[in-house]
Amino acid sequence: MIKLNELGDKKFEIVLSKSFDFENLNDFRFFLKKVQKEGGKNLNINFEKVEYIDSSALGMLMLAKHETDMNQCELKLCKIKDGHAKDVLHLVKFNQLFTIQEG
Amino acid sequence: MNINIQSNSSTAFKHNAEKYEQEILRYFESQDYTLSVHLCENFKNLEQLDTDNSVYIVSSRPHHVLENLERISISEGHIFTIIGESRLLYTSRSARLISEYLFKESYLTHAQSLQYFTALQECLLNAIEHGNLNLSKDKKDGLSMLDNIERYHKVIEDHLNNSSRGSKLVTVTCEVKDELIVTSVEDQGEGYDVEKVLKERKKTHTLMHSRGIRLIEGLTDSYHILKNGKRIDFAMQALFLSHHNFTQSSMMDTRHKSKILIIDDQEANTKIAKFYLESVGYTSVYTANSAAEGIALAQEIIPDLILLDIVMPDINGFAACRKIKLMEECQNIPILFFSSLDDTQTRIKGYRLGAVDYVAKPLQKNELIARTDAHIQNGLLYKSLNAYVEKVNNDMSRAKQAQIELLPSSEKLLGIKKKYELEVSACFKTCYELAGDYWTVEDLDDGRVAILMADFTGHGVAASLNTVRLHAFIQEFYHYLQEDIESFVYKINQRLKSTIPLEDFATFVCAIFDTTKNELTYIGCGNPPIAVIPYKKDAKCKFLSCEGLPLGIEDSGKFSLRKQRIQLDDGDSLMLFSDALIEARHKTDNEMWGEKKLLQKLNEIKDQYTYPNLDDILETFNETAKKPLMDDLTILHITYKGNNVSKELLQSYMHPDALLTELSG
Repeated sequence: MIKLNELGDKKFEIVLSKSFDFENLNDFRFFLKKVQKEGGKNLNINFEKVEYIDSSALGMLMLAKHETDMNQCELKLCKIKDGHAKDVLHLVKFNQLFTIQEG
Repeated sequence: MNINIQSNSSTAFKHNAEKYEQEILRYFESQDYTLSVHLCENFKNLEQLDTDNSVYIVSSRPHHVLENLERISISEGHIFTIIGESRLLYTSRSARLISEYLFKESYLTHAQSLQYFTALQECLLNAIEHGNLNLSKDKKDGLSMLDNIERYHKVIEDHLNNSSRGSKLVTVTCEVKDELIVTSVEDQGEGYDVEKVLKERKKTHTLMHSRGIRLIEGLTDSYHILKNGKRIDFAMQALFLSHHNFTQSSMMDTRHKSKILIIDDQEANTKIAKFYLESVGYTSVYTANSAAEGIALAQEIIPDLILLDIVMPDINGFAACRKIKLMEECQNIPILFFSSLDDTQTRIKGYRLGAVDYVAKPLQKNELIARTDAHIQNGLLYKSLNAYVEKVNNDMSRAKQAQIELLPSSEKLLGIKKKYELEVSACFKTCYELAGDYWTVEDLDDGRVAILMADFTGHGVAASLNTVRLHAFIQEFYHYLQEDIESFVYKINQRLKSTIPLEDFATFVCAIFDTTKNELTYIGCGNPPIAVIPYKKDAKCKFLSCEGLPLGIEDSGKFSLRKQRIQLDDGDSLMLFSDALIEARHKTDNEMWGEKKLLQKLNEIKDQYTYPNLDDILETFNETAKKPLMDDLTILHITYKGNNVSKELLQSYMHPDALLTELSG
C-alpha cells in the first residue's frame, strides 16, 4: 500500500511500497488529485522501500511530472536506494526529467 | 381547469342536466384540474368507461349525488371516480366494466384484470350488503346466505328497491400511486368493528374459496380498511404504464420472455403458483406433477428458472435437483425450492445441491413473485455476462492474431537469411492476451538490416494499440531509416509523443546490422542492454548499454540520442530482449535475474554449447524462471555467418509462433 503524508505548509509526500507497479495506479492517481486539490507546492515521492518498479510506475511518474508542472508544484524523487528501481530510473534517464535524490 | 360534462341517459334525466351541470361546475370551480363529468341515469347506460380523469355520476336522482360531491377526491394520478346509488351498482356488470377498462387501457394485465374484477366485486358487495344495507347475520335480519341463497337475494333486492338504504351511495375511486393501481370503495353505512372482523379472518384457513376480506387479501397486493370499515383501499401493481408517463417496467419485458418450470406432485400447488406468476405477466409457465416429468420437461424446454417441491413420491426434490444439475444444458438453471419443510437443515441441503433460494409453503403470492423476479433477473445478468465474456475472448483472440501478423513473416526472415546469411530467431510471449511488446526487421537493401524492438508501458489492449501505432509510424518514416537512423528515431518519438496518452511511453532500440562491415550501429531509448555473445572461445559475453529517454515522453531539447557503433567479430551473435527477461524471478529464491545473472548465464551457455542458439537460452530461462511471467517477453537472437565461421553455426529458422509455447505463461 502506498500512502500520502501531509507535511504541512502545502508539502506532501507519497510513500511508495516495496513494489511500485500497476497495482498502485489508482491510489497514486488519487493522491495526485488530492495534492492538486489542496494546492500542494512540494511533492516528494519517497522510494525508500521500493525494491521493484515496472513500466506502469514510470508512466505514473510521468503523470505526476505533468500534474506538478501544471500547478507550479515542485516534484522530487527521494531516497532511491541501490537496486532495481535505481537501475531502471538510470536506464530510462529519468534524471534528465526529474529532480532525483539518492540514498 | 377543463370540466366536460356529458349526459348519457334518458330524456327526462337530460332535461334536468343543465341544472346539475351548473351545480357541479360551481363545486369544482375552486379546483385546478382537467376533468370530465358523465351523468348516467343507470349504470347500464354506461357502455364503457372511456376517458381518463373522469367522474361518473350514476344515479336516477342526480340531485342526491350532487349533495355528496365532497366525497369525490381528486389527486394526481386520478383515473376515474364513480359515484352511484347502491341499487345501480349492485351488479357484477359494474365490476366487470371497470376491470375491463383497466385492462383495455393497459393498467393491468389480463390475468390481473380477472383478479381485480373478483376483488372489486367483493368490495362492492361488502359495501352494499354490509355497509349501505347494513345486513348482517348477527343483527338477525332474517338473513342466512348459507341456509337459503334465493331468500338471501330476495331480501337484498327488497332492501335495494324499497328501502331508503337502496339510494345510499357507493364511491369507487381509481388512481395510480407509486406504480400501483389503488382502488377505494366507500359506502355510507355505519361501519363495523374492524379489529373484530380481522381477528375472525385469521381463524379461516381456506384462501381461494373464502369471501370477504380474506378473498380480497388473496387477490390484491395490499389492502387497508379505513373510516371504521366504511372504506376499503386495495392495490395492485400497475404494469403497462408507458403511455401514462411512467417508465415501462423492464421487468415486465423480462417476465414476458422468461420460461419457468414448476414441479410439484400436488396439482393444486402448481396451479396456484402458475396463477400467481401469470397474474404478473409471466407468459411461459410450465408445470409438471412428478419429478420425472419435470426433469424431462426441463431438458426439453431449458427453462430460465425451476420451482421445485421437495417432498414428492418416487424422486424427491433433492434427487431431482441433482439430476437436473447433472444435465449439461440445465446445469446453470437456477433452482428455487418450495416446500412446507422449513427447517434449517433442509434449506442447507438444498443450497448444497445447488439451489439458489427457498420459499416456504403455503406460498405467499408477493414473496413468490419477488423471489422469482430476482432470480430471473440474476439469471439474465449471468447469461449476458457470459455472452459478453465470450465476445471479449473472441475479440481478444482475433486481436492477438492481428498483433502477431504485425511481426515479420517467416518469408521475410527467410529472405534476409538467404540474402545476407543473417539469421533472426525470436521468442514473443505475452503475459495477457495482447502485448505491449513489438519487434520488426527491415532489409535496407544495401547489405544492411534494421532490427527494431519496443516495449510500451503496461500490457493488454491499450499497450497493444500503441504497438499498432508504432508499426504504422515505422512504415511512414521508413525512408529515414535508410538514410539516418537518428532522424528516424526523432520522427518516431515526435509522432508517439503527439498521439499516445501522457503516462504511456516505449523503451526502444533501433539497430542497423551492416553485413558488409560486420558492424552494428544502434540507438537505445531506455531498453535493456544488447547482449553480444562472442564466437571466440576465450571471449566473454558483454552488454551494450541502451540508456536513454524512452519514446513518447519528451520532444523538446531534453530528448537527445546517442548513436553508437560496434565492430563485431565473425560469428558473434546478438541478443535483444525486453525487461521481462531480467525482471523474471528465480524459482528457488524469488530473486530477480537481473543483468548480472543474465550475463553469467549467457557465459555458461556459451561455454556449454559450441554455437549457442535461442533454444539454449530459452531452455535455461525455463528451467529457472518463476511462472507466470508478469510482463511481455521478447527475445531476438541475431546471428551473422561471417567468412571464417563454420556452416554448423547456421541454425534452422524459428518463426516467432513456434516459440510462443516455449514459455508457459
